[in-house]
Amino acid sequence: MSQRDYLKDLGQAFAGTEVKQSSDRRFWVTVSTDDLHTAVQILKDRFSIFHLSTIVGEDMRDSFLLSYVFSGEVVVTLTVKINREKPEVPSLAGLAQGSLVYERELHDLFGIIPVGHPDLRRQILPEDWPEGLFPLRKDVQVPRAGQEAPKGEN
Amino acid sequence: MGEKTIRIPIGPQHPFLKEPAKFDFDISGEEIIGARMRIGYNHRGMEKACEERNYYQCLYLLERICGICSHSHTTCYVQAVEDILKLEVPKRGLYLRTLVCELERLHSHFLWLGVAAHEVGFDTLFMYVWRDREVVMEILEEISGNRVNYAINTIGGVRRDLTEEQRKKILGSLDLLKKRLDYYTHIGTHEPSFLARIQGVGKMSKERAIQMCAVGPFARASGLDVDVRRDDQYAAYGDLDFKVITSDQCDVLGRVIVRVLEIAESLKMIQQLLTKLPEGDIAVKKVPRRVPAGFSISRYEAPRGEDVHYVRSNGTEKPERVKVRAPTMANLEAATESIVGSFIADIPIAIASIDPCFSCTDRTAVVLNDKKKGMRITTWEELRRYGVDWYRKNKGIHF
Amino acid sequence: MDAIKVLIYIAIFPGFLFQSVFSTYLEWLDRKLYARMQNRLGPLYTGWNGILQPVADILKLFAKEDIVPASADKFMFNLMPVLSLASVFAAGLYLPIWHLTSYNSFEGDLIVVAYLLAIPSFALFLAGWFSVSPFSLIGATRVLTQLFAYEVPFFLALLTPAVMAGSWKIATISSYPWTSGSWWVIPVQLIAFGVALLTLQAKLERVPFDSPEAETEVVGGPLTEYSGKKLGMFRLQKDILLFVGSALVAALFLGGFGGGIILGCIQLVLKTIFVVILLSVVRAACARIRIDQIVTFSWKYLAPASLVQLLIVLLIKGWKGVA
Repeated sequence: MSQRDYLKDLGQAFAGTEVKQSSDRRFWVTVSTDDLHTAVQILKDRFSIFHLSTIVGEDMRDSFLLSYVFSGEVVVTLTVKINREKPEVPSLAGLAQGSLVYERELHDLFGIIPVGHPDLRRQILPEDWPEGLFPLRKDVQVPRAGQEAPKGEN
Repeated sequence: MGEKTIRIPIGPQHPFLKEPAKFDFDISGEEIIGARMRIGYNHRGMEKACEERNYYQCLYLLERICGICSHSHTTCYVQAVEDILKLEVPKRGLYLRTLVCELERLHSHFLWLGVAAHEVGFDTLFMYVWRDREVVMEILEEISGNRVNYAINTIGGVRRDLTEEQRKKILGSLDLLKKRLDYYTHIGTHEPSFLARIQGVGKMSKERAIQMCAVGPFARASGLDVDVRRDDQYAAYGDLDFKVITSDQCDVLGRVIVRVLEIAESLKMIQQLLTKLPEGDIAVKKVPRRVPAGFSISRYEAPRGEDVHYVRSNGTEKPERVKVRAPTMANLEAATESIVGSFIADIPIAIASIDPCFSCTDRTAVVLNDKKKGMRITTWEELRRYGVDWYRKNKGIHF
Repeated sequence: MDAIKVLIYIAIFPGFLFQSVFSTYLEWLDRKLYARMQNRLGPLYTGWNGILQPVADILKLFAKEDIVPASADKFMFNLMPVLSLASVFAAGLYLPIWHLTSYNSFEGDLIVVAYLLAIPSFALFLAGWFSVSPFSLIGATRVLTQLFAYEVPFFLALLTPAVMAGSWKIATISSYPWTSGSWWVIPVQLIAFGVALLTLQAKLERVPFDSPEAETEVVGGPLTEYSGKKLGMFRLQKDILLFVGSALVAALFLGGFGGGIILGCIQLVLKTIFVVILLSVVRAACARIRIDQIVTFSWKYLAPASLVQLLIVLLIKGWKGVA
């Protein structure tokens, strides 16, 4: 439906990285943590795609996978692989103010640290939630009946 | 109170919040000079819970994210799963799905208009609007059997078909809604004391809205021309003729205008859907239980804005990851910011203007079957009709 | 004998008993009207069509636990409900319901009543101030701001009939049309009547002037921390204020309650109800306006309007004096 050949253009703009198309309007670009800022800037400048819909965090067991869903005429998702031992990613604070809530959420639920985020208070979990327990990581099991659920001290 | 600032906490429980959330406002006199928000009081761990359930169980779990936009979340989710499965949903199924989408938007916007009126103490409008919301709720009950969690979606289509009588009945009740809507549009945009409370309140410029990644009617009221229904067509929206409503007011008045006009657009769309309704199956006959490995992102224009679901499957019966991004999440930060500089009195309406999601009530209709006391089983339908007739006959109240 | 008579005046009619009973009836009427204007039913189950609902509400509050916040000033916190209830009740004793005169009226009682009616607002402010919670502090400051907004127009509006009748005595003012036969004063004073209605609405803190206790903004305003008996007293005070205020407006602007004891009583009931109906319509037709908008509204429109009215009345007086 779109007039522009996004697959070709994206391939040119992100030369050297993997660009995939899953359906008519869904494009996936793999970038590294260092190139994240440049990639967002490219999307903004060359494709005028600036709306950050969300950031999806996933635990791939050997690493974390972050998907930055940018939507405009088409949806371009920047996927970033992060080291599980050192879960750090540059924050998009300066580029898209809307990323702050999603980064706070990631910090809460995955323990991923967005470097440069101005305000990393707890957003979703209670204040007294045990430190270092990140519920959406795969090594955290949902408690079965009879098992005690994790909770804060109070 | 002079130069001294006090911090007033609003929430987690406060009369104007229908759902727990916490806001800290630094105020000087009546003016707000700082605002912070904290959510998460309703965190139920649904994303984690989805990883433990199969695809159908997830569907009904996700339906319960929100009482008002339950259909939005399920539609968004099934679209993602259907995309991974490469299912082709029959046309009639898509039309029915879209019909419920638009009816849901209708009742959600009616609800919002009532709540907005209540937040500024205009209870008369609140009562009037909610009376007419009942009409929409009845239609929804007619279609799906439920007033709140419709449970009409299934992977590959919808679960219930629409009969010819139902179609006629729904078309008939639309006229009443249209007539009443004109009146509310006039009140909402002309009543002086209501206007005094919403004009110039909660300002959010277009540039700021872009930067804060605002969505839905909130963004459209700031002049941002975004609507997933048009930009990323799904379901039957490709066949429909509708306008995307925007406003350059950038304040609460703009949000009222956008929502009221969207109701009119939705009414038009429902009419089109019902007249064009194609014949055929309503769902795919055979849907595999195991979903092949893959991932998909689905977008949906919920009444409150863009809803995003991400599903990753791993070839088993259970999804690997389900991520839900509700529209309120995208708008809350922006709404909190838009309050700074206005008065304490504007807090409720400014926060309510993004229509924060809150859970809806459920209902019970059980009468015990006791022969000794002459009790009998009354169906909900009978009970309802009895109530409506009783009030009409004895009290002159019209529903 | 005189002592018993005075006791009856104070305790039964038009004193405490009559005021409490009739004011709860007025509250029921107001709620019912407000509900019907919104296509609702209003109170329904307690007594005939819910007529006993306000009584039931107040009795329920009296039976509830009474909590005093730890940080509140206990003496002031406990004093305020009593003070405000006593002041409106005392003001009600000056209403000219006994024939054309009230038993204890004197030259200048209008001013006393006007001040007695101002006390509840101050009591409300102090109640909020001494209960020390953010919401009651904000509510308290709003009460005071609103008081400054409506009090002057209210006094100016009350001044109009006083100037017309040439007296500061409520009984003389309300009997002025009866004694002088000049019934035309009622249409002449329409502007002042309107101003008095709106300012009374503000005094009662009802929509559109209910910003001090706006539920969605400041929870309960100054009364946030109150519960049990004390909240019940404030409720009763509000009801009696509704009665006394409407009866005062009816006495001053609608020709008083003349024509003997029975006719006088019927007039009192009917005219007060008429004023309450007008107040209910205003309540149903408006949204709550902000505190700064209230101040602007009353100084921009209400105060000048009452001054214009005063000028009209003075001109008429002057013209009549010459003729």
